[in-house]
Amino acid sequence: MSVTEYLQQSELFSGLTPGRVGQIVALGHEVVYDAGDAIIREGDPSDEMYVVCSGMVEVTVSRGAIPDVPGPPQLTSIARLGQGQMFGEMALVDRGARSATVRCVQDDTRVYVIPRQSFWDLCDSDHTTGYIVMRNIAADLSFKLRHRNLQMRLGGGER
Amino acid sequence: MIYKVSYVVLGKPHLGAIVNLDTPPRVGDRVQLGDEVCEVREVIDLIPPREDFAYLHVTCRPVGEAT
Repeated sequence: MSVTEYLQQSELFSGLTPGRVGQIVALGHEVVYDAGDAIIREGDPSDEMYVVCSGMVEVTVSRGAIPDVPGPPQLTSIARLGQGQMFGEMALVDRGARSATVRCVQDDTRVYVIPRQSFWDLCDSDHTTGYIVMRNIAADLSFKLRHRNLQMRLGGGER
Repeated sequence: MIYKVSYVVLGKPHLGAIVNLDTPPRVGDRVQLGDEVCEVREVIDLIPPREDFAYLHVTCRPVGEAT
């Protein structure tokens, strides 16, 4: 399956014509990661978003991190994301630092990297693409919140 | 149709996953979530479908580690 075919199965591109998907695909590039590789790190500056073409990644946040206290912060996994899922989209929207660390948990995980600025430029120049993509990002963030709520209710997660 | 699935693993707050599938999950299916294999116990519609996407919630329980 081609990268474009993988990406067309992501909600990010739902409702876009193949031509418009192609315009976004042309902005980015694919990177392959192995299990344990860090893709983004909490606190780092951000200028890209990502879509998982195949494989799986894990999102973790640090708890109890105190800059003056030695030792690694405690990491808490908050989600695993597989084929078709996007991450790094919060920074795309708000330009803030990375709110979580994302590591690959399966060898040969393929991730598509989309640069923020050129993506914004495309959305600014084509408002139809911009509207559809931003609606899709909002829907995805909503789905992740619902997932997290269910996880806390059924999985025994902390409230 | 693309099935966007929220997996929650009973008793394992940090093992859930979100994955897109070509076919809907069914009760009794086994699914690998990272290094853990889980069995599907319940499948429900989470929110109404939109365009080519259906949104499902799956509750499952771990049955072992993947080899």
